Amino acid sequence: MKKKVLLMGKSGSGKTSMRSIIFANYIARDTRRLGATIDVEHSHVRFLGNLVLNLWDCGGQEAFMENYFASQRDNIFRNVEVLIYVFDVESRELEKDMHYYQTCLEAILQNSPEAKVFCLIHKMDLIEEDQREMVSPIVIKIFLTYFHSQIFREREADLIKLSKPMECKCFKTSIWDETLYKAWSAIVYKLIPNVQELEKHLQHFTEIIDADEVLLFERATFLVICHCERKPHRDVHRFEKVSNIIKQFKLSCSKLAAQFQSMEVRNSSFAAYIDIFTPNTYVMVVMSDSSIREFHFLSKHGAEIMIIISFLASAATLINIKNARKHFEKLEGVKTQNPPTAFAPR
Amino acid sequence: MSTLDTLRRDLLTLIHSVKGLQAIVITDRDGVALIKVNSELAPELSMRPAFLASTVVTSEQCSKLGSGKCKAITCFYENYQVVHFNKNPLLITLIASINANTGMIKALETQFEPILTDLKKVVNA
Amino acid sequence: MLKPKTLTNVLSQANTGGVQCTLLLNREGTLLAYSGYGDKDARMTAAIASSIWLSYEKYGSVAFNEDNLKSYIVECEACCVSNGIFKLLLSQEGNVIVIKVSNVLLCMHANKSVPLGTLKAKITTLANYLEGPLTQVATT
Repeated sequence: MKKKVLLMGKSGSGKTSMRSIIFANYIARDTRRLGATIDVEHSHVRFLGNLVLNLWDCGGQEAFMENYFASQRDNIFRNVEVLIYVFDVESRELEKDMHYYQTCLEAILQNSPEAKVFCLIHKMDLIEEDQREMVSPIVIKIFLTYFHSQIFREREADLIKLSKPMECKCFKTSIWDETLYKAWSAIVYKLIPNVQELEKHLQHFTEIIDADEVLLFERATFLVICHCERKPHRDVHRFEKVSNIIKQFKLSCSKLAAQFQSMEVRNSSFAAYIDIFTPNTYVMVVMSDSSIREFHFLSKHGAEIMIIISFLASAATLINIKNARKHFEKLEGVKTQNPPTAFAPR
Repeated sequence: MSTLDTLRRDLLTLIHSVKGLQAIVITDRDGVALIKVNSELAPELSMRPAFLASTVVTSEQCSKLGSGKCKAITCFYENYQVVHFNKNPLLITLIASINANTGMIKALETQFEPILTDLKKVVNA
Repeated sequence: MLKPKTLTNVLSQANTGGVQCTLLLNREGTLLAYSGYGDKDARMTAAIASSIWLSYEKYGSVAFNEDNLKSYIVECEACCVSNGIFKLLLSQEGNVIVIKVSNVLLCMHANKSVPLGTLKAKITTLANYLEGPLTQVATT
């Protein structure tokens, strides 16, 4: 199943950079080496086996833009499933950006009215280096958070108003932190065809094994495609953080020519397991130790109280993951054993 | 009649006293058999030094299993049962069919005391 | 699937009348589940129990023409260190029994007050109960 994804926005707004980080194993620093995109760069990304994302990375220089809206209009805007429009937050030509965005929406509305629209307010990390040194980091952080959310809220309101009658979802992103993963997870979530069914089965699995939380990651990108939470967690950004951290770790593994397979993280209150799941996914299972350990208080002869400690060791959880694997593989309908390849230019 | 022959006769009496008991082997810490008595039914291979040595190692491991020095090990197989008595520095191995009465075999333990004393005399002589 | 609550509950039911702990381990010696009074050496017990199992299994397959090991019992006596004045009890008397369930091992540790026959009956009952479900899980 092929899905066409349009990546548009002004030149230098960071479209190719984010694409490279998410789909082509670049680290943020490496994206400095990327040059400007000329015309349209097509790439096929195998995502979850039978789902192929057909990424059209459209170079954003004005000459190209005019061209897309005129002579290439049909070719570009036909059969679009998702439009991702990237705004550079520090752009000085807001009016012009908005104008292009509107033109783009018109073309979409004409050619692919069913398409989903996402707006990414990108580069939400920028602040001059010399300014940073003058104030203490904490003050900067508080200030920036406030400032950023203020800007973002304004832009978001503008964009939603501007996008009517189409619905648009806005994200603030930066290649330097996990916000990028959050946005892209939300985007691919909309593209997975049987995601409800996947969620249902994941929920079932989580309940059977008494886990606190189970996450399903796409294997190549490490985007969270599905999750099930049984015990509320205070950090709402944890998925993106995990994606970000594990992806980095995976990349450093590959530098040593070793493929990342699984890991177990444990402290006194919880144990987390990350393991290869189906050919297209990784799974993360979080078990809190308090649910694993049970204390039975037995009073013997009325006075003496004995404590029975019971627990399930990690090997048992790994067995559970292994057994669930078969089930989810069936669900995914995996037949080909091809490893998911990212970024194969046509 | 030498002491060793007397010992052998005593052990044979023990074998015949329990139905299904097929062999008794007494070895040292290295698995070398000091004395070996068996009925004609006993599987020949089970009394080879190589296997006896492996059980010595195992019995030493057993001591680490939570509760102090290992005194005895009993193994149940599909058709056989094997009982080891750990009599430092010697190890007694009894091989019986699975149908033999395990309790009776274990009860033989006390009867080995005089035999072991005699055996030590022979070894030291 | 191994349901943590159900499995540990079943195991803990055996810990009565002198049975100290009950554990489930795989043949490689990795602990799967544990229930008992205190858990100091659960992982080590599992490792040793499986190591003994493997060596007796090998013994059985060669010495008795492919005879399958069903279970084994280890009896231990108290171990003391004495310096003449004080006597330090290092470990207590106790028996350990290990039995095969599906393709994992079930291990029970009891103190001396539990007769071997009772211990064997107890572990056999538990093993029979777990046999079906664990075969379905088909651990390797």
